[in-house]
Amino acid sequence: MKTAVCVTAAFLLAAGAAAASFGQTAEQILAKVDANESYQSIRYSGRLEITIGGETRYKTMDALAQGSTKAFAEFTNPEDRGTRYLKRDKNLWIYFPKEQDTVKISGHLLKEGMMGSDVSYEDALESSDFTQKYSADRKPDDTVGDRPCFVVELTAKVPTAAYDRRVLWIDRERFVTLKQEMYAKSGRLLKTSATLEMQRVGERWFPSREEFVSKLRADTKTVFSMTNVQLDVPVTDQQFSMAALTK
Amino acid sequence: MKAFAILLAALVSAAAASGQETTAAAAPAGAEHAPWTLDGSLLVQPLAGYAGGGSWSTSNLSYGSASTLGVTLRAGSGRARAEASVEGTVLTGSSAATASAVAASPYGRADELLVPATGAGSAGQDAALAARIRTLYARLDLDGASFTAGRQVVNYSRGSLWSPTDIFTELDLAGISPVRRGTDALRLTVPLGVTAGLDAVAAPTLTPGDGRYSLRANALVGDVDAAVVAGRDGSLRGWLFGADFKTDLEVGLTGEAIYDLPDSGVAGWVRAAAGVDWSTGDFVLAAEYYYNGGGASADLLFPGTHNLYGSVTWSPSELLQLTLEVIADVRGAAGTSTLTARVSAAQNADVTAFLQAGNGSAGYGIGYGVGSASWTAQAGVGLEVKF
Repeated sequence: MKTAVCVTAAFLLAAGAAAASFGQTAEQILAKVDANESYQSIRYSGRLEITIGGETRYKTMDALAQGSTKAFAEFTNPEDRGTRYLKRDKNLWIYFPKEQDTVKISGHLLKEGMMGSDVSYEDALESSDFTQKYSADRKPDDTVGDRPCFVVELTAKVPTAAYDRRVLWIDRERFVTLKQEMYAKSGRLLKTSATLEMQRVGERWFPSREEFVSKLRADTKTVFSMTNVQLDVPVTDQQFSMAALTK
Repeated sequence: MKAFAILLAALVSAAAASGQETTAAAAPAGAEHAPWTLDGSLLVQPLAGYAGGGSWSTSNLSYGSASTLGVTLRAGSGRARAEASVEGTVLTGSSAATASAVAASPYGRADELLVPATGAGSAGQDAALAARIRTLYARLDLDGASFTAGRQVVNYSRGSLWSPTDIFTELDLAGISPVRRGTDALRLTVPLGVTAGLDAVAAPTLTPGDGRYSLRANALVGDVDAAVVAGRDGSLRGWLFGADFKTDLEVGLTGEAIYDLPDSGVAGWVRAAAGVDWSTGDFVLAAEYYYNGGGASADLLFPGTHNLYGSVTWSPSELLQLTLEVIADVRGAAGTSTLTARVSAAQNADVTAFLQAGNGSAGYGIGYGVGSASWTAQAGVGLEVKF
């Protein structure tokens, strides 16, 4: 668990996606965010910068995802080179090359930080389609930096939701989630995320650099960056198979 | 190994040709891989130990160190790939003596080089050089199926410590944690869908009848990763039939069982392990039970019938991990306890400190299972840098 992490844009985008639009309901805004960030597939190179008490560790990866249900990532930094993740629906496996070991991640470990980061396995596995697990309410508009935002509050309506409540700040023009707060049932703030950079890919805006902060740990943060983003690349189901994981 | 080396060269040549026809979309992984990578690690591990059975004596104290350089080269293009991993170790003091003891024990392998500085196995030996080829194989991917030839790690384990169905694994006991050695084998894997497959492995010896052969089928059934295996162990003159699984019901659950059926007509025996793991906050807990119905002939490291394992891992920070492990042979009154602290000291550099105490020969660890002292204690530090 303490070794590296990666996951796909789908994973991390899922952890930070949602939206709103003036005069529109929260559901309509979320639908626009989903439409903006929807893709058949995505391929990218990623970099995790994990900072703990002034110490920073980085991890790099190549990743491929299809929708929000399938993802494959392989770490490329020296410490974790060859470590791979495979996500299929709610199942997640890790492959460690030195021992040729394939491990299915147990459910109780899903709240652990992936590869020592502030992003949990649960964050990574959750579908970006919030409407299935949360009810949405529009809150007064706000700004993040100089960007006007819609604010949408999500409340869990099923016990399998990763968080009891989430608040999203969504760029009114680009429909990208600029900021997010995630809360426990007790009301305690568990985690925050913020979009540090956006990138235009074709007709869409993508959060290409995001910061995640776990409020359960002191003085930690994880910055995730994506480069070489390609959308709607051709993929096959075999690329998300156990054979690909252990090849 | 010479035959494997020739095969490896041939397959890499084939890779270069087939790779020209392979498109990114056909590549099984998400990444575009470099044609080759070279990485490795340097591990320096000094330690001190005490082994004795009676009153305290400074003559029972020992010191040693092991400095290991490991290098792994991976090359490939398109459908074919190859890997070569070699390790060289400079051993001093008790570490050299332990390496000699391991080499002379059933865990020793003739193809691993150990050069004592003062004569093989002599008392007072204080230095040695060890070298081995951990992996050397070539792999050919054929539309999902893959064929691998050469020295490779074949890992079927599910459990935290015991894996009766992990029938090809041979362990290196010289370090803080056991490391899997490579097995000289031919392996064919054929996917059956995206989460299931067949795995045929042949690990022949110079006398093919003494080799080990198996066929394994694995699948994700619901939320259960499960497999069944049947095999032939020529060295033990018997057949093997086993099954294993991993799933979770709030807690993680693993199970493995294998039945050894000798040709001689005598009754076979069962070895089985069941484990559970659970986490709360910064703690991860694991426990496992191992039943060895075959005694020492089935498992030299854990000859006892009933064995227990427990571990608690605490991660107060992502840069620090503390683990306490206890292994016990319930009826044999043998056991090992190990406290390990692992610190991420810098990017790609870890420091591991350990304190280990044991009685009898139950347990993994440096030299456990090959020594004769009734009880031992060891402490050491390891610095590992990866590049």
